[in-house]
Amino acid sequence: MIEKLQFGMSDFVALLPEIILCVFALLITVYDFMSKRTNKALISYMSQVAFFVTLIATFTLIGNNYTAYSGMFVIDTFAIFIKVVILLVAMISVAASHRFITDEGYESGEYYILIMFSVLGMMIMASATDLISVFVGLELMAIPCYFLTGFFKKQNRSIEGALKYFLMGAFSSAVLAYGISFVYGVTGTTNLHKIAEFFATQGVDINNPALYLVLTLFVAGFGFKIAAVPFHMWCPDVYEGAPTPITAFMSTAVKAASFAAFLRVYATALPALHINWAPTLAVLAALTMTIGNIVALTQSSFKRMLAYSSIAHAGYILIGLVALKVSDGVASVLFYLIAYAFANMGPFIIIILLRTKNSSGEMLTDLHGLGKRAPLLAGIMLIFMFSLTGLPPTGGFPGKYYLFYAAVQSNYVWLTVVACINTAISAFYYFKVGMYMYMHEPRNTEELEKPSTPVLTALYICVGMTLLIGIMPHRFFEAAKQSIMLLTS
Amino acid sequence: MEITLTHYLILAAVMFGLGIIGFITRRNMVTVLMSVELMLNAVNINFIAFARHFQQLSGQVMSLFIITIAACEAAVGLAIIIVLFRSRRSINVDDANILKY
Repeated sequence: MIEKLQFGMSDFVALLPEIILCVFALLITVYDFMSKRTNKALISYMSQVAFFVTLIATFTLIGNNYTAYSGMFVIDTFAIFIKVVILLVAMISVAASHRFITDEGYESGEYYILIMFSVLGMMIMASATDLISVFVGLELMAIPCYFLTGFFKKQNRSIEGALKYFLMGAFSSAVLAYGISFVYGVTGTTNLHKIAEFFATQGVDINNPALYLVLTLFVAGFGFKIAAVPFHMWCPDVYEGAPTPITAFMSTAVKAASFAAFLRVYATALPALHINWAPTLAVLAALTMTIGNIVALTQSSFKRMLAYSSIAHAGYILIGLVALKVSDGVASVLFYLIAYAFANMGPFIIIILLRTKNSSGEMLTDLHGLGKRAPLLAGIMLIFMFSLTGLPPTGGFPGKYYLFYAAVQSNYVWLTVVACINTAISAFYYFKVGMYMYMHEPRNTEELEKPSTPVLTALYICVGMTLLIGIMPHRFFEAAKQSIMLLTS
Repeated sequence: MEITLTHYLILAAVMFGLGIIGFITRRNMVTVLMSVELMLNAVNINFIAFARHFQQLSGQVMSLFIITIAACEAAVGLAIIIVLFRSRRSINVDDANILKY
C-alpha cells in the first residue's frame, strides 16, 4: 500500500519560514568559511537579520490552518505562537552572545550557525503532526545544543556539561523512539490525527500492556527534554557548564519547543488516554516543582540556582498538561511559556553583564551590593525575580493564576495547594537575591564593563515584555486562547 | 517453527534492555555510546517488524530516519569524547565529576 506523494504550492508556503531560515543558515556557513577570522561580528548581525526575516515570514502565515506534506506538517496558530516565542528568544540570546564569546576567546561563526539550526529544529517540532517529524525536529534541535553546551572547549565544565547533556539526550531520544515504535505497532500509523482517529473508532483497550508502555516511554522521553523530576539530573550540570547565553537559550527556547511537541502529541493524538495519564503527570508535576524549589534553596551559584528554578517552572507548566480537558488548560500553558521565557532570559543576561576580570558573575556572592554598584541592573533584576516568584505587576502573576485556576477547574485541588506552597518556598530564594543586592555591602568593587548596545536592548526587551504581560495579561491570554482552537479538534 | 512478529518484538526488547543495562553499568564512554546505538537499533527492528506486519512502507522509512539520526549522534558523541580525552587523558564517565552541588 504505497500512497502517492504530492507536493503543491501550499506545502511550500507552509514551510516558508523554515526554508528561509535554512537557506540563510547555509549561506552564512559558506560566508563563514570565506571570511577572515576578525570579521565574525558581522555573522552575529547576519543571523539576527535571518531570524528577523523568518519572524516576518511566520507572521505572514497567521490565519492559515492546513496540513502540508501528506499530514506531516501543520501550519496553525498554535505553531505560529510557539515559533514567534522561539524566534524572539533566539534573537535575544544572539544579541547577548557576541561580546561574551569574544571576551572568552571563542569568537567564531559556527556558534551562530548552530543556534540557527537548533531554532530550525524547534520550528519543525512546533509544527510537526507526525511522530516522524516530531522526532527528527527534536534531534535537529538537540544535536546543535550538545555542541553549543561544549562550545568553550578549553573549559572543563563546559565539556563536562556537553558530555552529560549528550549522554542523557541520546538516551532519552532512544527511549522516545522506542515509545513511537509501539504507537506505530498498536495503531499502524505515525500520523497524530490518524492515531486519534484510531482510538476514537476502535476504542481504548485498557488491558493492552503496550499502551501503558507507550505512556511510560513518552513521559520518560519528553520528561528528559523538559527536565521533569525524576528525569532532571542532567539539567543543573548542563545549565551551569554551558556558556551563559546558551543556558538562557536552552532554559527557554528548548523548553518551549519541547512543551509544544509534548502538548501536540498528547492533545492531538492521545486525548482518549487522558484519564490514564493525567494522574501520573499530576504526581510528576508536584514532584518536579517541590524538588526543584527545595534544592534551589541550598545553592551558592546563582546560575545553578536558576537551573533548579527552571526545573520548578517546568513543574508548574506540567499542571497545564494535567488540566488539558479544561477549556483554558492549554492556553494557560502557552501564556506561562511566554511570561516565563522573558523573565528567565533576563537574569542570565544580567549574569553576563556582571562578568568582570576577576569574577565570573555567576555566584550569589557576586550579587552582593549590586544595588550600590549598578542600581539600574539591580532594579531590573528585582523585576525578574518578582515575575519568577509570581507577583504582580509582572507576567509571572497572571501566568500562575491561569495555570492554578485550570488545575482547580479540573478537580486537581491538591495539586493547586502543592503549587501554592511551592510558590511560597520559591519566594524565599528569589527574595534572597533582592536581599543580597540591597542589604549587603559589595564584596567585589571592580567597575562593571560598560554593556554593549545589543545586550542592553535585549535586557530592555525582556524587562519591557515582563511588565507588559503583567499589566495587560488579557491580550496575551486571548492570543494564546485563539491559538489553541484547532489543536484538539 | 515459523518466526512471527512476537519473536522480533522479543528480540528488540532484549536488545533494548541490554542497551539500558550497558548504559547504566559501563564506565567507558565509547561503550556507553555503543549501548545507546544498541537501543536505537532495537527500535529499528521494532519498526521494520511492524512495517512487515502491516504490509506498509512508513515503518521502514522511520527506521531510515533513525539510522541517520544514530549516525549523527555517534559523530557528536565521538567528537565530545575526543575533546574530553584531550583535556583529561581519560574517557571514564566517572572522571567527569567537577559539576555537582
